[in-house]
Amino acid sequence: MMKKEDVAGNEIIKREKYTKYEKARIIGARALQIAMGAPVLIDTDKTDPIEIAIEEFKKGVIPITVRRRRW
Amino acid sequence: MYLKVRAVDVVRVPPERFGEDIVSTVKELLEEKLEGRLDKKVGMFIAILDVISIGEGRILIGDAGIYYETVFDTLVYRPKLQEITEGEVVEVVEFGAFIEIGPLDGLLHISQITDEYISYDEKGGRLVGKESGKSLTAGERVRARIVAISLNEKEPSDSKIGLTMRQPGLGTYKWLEEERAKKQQEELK
Amino acid sequence: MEEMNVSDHRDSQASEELKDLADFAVTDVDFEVEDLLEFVGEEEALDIIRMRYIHEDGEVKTSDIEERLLRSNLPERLRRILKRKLRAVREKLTRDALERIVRRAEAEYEEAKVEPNEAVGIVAAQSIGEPGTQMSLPGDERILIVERGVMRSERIGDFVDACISKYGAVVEGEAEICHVNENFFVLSLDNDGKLKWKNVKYVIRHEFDGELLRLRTKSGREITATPYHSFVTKKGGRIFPIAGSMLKPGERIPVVRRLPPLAVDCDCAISPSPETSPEASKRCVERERKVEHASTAYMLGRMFAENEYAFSFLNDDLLNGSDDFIKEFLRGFFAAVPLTGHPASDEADGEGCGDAVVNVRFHDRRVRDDFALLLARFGIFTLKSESAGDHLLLIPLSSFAAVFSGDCGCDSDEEDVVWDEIESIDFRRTSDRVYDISVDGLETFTTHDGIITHNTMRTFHYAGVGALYVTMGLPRIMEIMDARKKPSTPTMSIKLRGEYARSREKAEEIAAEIEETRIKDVARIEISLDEKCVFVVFKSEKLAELRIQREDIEAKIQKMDVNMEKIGEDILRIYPKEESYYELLRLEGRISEMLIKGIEGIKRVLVRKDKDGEYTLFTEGSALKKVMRIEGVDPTRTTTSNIIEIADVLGIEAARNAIIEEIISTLEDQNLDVDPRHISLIADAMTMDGEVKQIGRHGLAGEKASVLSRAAFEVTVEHLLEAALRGERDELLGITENVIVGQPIRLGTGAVELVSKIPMSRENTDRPPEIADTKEGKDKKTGN
Repeated sequence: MMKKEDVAGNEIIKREKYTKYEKARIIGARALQIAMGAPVLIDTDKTDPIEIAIEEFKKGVIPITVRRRRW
Repeated sequence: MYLKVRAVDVVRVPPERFGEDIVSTVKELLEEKLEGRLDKKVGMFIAILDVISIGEGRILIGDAGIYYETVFDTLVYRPKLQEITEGEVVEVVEFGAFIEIGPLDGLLHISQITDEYISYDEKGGRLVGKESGKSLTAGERVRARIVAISLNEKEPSDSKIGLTMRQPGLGTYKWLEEERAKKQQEELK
Repeated sequence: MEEMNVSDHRDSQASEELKDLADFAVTDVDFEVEDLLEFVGEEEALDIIRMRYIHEDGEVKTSDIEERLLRSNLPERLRRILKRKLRAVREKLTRDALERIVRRAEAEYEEAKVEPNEAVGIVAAQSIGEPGTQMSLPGDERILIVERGVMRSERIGDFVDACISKYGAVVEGEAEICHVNENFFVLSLDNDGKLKWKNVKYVIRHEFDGELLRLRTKSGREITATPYHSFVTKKGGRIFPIAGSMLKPGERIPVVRRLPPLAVDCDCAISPSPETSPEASKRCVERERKVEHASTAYMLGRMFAENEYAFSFLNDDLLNGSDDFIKEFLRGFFAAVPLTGHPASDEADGEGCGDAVVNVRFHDRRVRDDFALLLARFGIFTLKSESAGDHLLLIPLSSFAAVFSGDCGCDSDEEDVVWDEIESIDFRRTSDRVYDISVDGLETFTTHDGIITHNTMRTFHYAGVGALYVTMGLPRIMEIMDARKKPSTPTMSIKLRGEYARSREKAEEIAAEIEETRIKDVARIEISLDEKCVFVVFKSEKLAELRIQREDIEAKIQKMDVNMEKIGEDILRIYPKEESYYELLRLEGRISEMLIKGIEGIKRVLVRKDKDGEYTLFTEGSALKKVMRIEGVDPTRTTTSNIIEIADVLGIEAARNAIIEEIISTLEDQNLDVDPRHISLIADAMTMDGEVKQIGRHGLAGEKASVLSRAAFEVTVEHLLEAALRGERDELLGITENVIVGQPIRLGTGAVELVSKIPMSRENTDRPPEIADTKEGKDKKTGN
């Protein structure tokens, strides 16, 4: 696993495993975006924003990532 | 004084605009957000000139929008003390005249127009000098100096900018023209 | 309750009998029998009269009486009365008789005293913890009740239900508690091993869903009770309560050997209420009349033996009959029943077992149990067993024969109970009502079968630590978390090493060594205002028991810078250096509190066998450092409930473990299940600085970095004011602060920082936006 760091030395997560909290936040945030009118990035029959977000997450197309700071 | 300023601000991009081109969206949102806004330090935003860079977007809990930290060039009007400014008289009232200096109006108090006694001619809507007979009416262009600034960010039109013309070289264009002509005549003599 | 309980033995019949005997035996006795009776009761009086003629061991001097009385533990007032009475009969007294009279008076006095810790009552027990109320008998267990002088056996359920429907009940939690206004008496065991009829104070009933415990003893007696219902057991010469669930086969519980003088006493002792008295006295009279005919009794006995089916149970009159009547009845009975004696079997050990047994066969269990009760009147302890559907009663011949040889005088030193071994224990589920009865004293009562049980409403025992009172439940948890310097009831559990752990004697040696003994424990301290001195009167039995030499005490007193004078074997006279009343009082206090043995702070020590069969000491009071140094104590497993003390002696890690252990065991006692991780977190937080800190505003909570979370804990305004004065900042890093402010906390999903990948549209995925030089751009900022 390659670790990439930004200027401040914070690790930027890319295509790694997310923690359950991160996963929940990503899907939750994305579902909210979709619910509020953001364009959906996949072709789907689903109507529930959460389900759409989950599907997007599975396909890896959600344009959201996580910044892990060093506290 | 008008300035071109490079500024940083955070813009919220609402979810319905996610599909659009980010740079133009951000610029548009910045215009929407900032133009006409008055900031005590920066001054009044006149126009967003160019988006220089867009940082990473933050997503907050309970908010569908994305917050971008954006660097951009903007044109601002920033009044400065002792600055010589030119403008047009927009209104003449009993206690003085309002001068439009850029996006803001400044007040030229009756006591700050000339060194002589000035009286208000209600019918003519003008201020007249007692001895010289110099007058000031709406529509005239003037040159004045800013002597007091009190900006109101929330209500930019309530901002108070104090002006003065009691100084050689200041006054309406007409007075200055006369002055110059007078000087030239004296020199010729 | 300072007055001696002199109202015993007012049985007019007995008194009559005694007078007759006295007249017959010693016609020239001219002192008043009543005088003696008033103090000592019939048996003693009898003995005294007899002894007068048996031993002539010299004249008793007035000084002897005084000396003896001074040695007694009677209060001043009683001593004076007794002195006067004894002086009046001095010429007739023997030394032996004097000794016995004083002893008896002492015993009576002790009995009449209110026990320490008494009168805590139901409310207190309720507040200690919920399990404290769940100790009861199922409704169909029979108990012995005396009402208006008549003894009967009744189902506890019927009895309590009747009381509750008659008097109503107060509901306390799940239990219904009924205060009984009437004079019912149950047979109760006191901690001197004597049985007494005691007034029922409360009856309690509540629902119970769980397993009942059924005990069977070697003598064939049975009892069913909730496992929380405690029994009394005898360890190290002391009687103390034990939880039913702690009992194991092989341990001994008391069963009735002899019924104390019948309940007639009670009616006379406690004046019955006006409306009940005529009726009661009428019954008494009726019974008296019936009982007169010895021949009737004899016939009844024969009838009973020949035609057992005629009796479904023995009737009240018989059960309550006079000794003579019953004797005649039994004579008649045994005349008809063939006495099939056989040698005592090996299993029938224990007291009351003689060389051979008489075997009596019954068809009905109740009749057998009643019959056993009759025999108990004479102190005949019977064994019960079952065989081929019949119920057998085995009567040891020796005690049996003693009764029928006409001698019914019993040795008063003997206990009224037999310590019967538990043979088997099994469980039975129930979800029915259970019942309980509360009386004064040890709170014991007796079932029909003669097993004595104990109602632990009063003393709450700590995991079987006998009668040690230990703080439990919420108060204890608070105590731990507050990191008190000293818990309200410090206790120690002292494990022993090697042979000390295996032998009771050895364990008791250590117990005696560490138990705090002050002079007042082994001697009586008296101030004489006339002579301006303090008397120390040693109690020789106590000294012997605790193996303390008189010389040691004397030496210690002499070091005190006083004038000591020995006046007799057991009496010291001590003068203070300065002759003033204040000095005198001070001297008395100093002497009585002087430690002569043991470890300061260890107020009581109990020796118990733990689950692994190891003798363990439980103490009231704590002194870990000193106890650990005692030879035979295993310092690695000895612990105290005082956490601060553990931290001082063993260090902070030990204190951390102690906190965890103590909290878990306290919670377990309340049947609460808390994940140990929570507890270890608390313990870690309390001990992380190297000293035990309380959780509270003076400890952990007060040391928090955040102003807001400190203010949120206690005394909000003070904290905010202080913080404002000092100009403190709150960085809102903690949980509490963010909750207060209404922000998401930085934990779990709240700790995740989401970042959008910049190009938001599908079209722009490949084309990154033109990023200009941002370094310059940052020097001017918009004020947003």
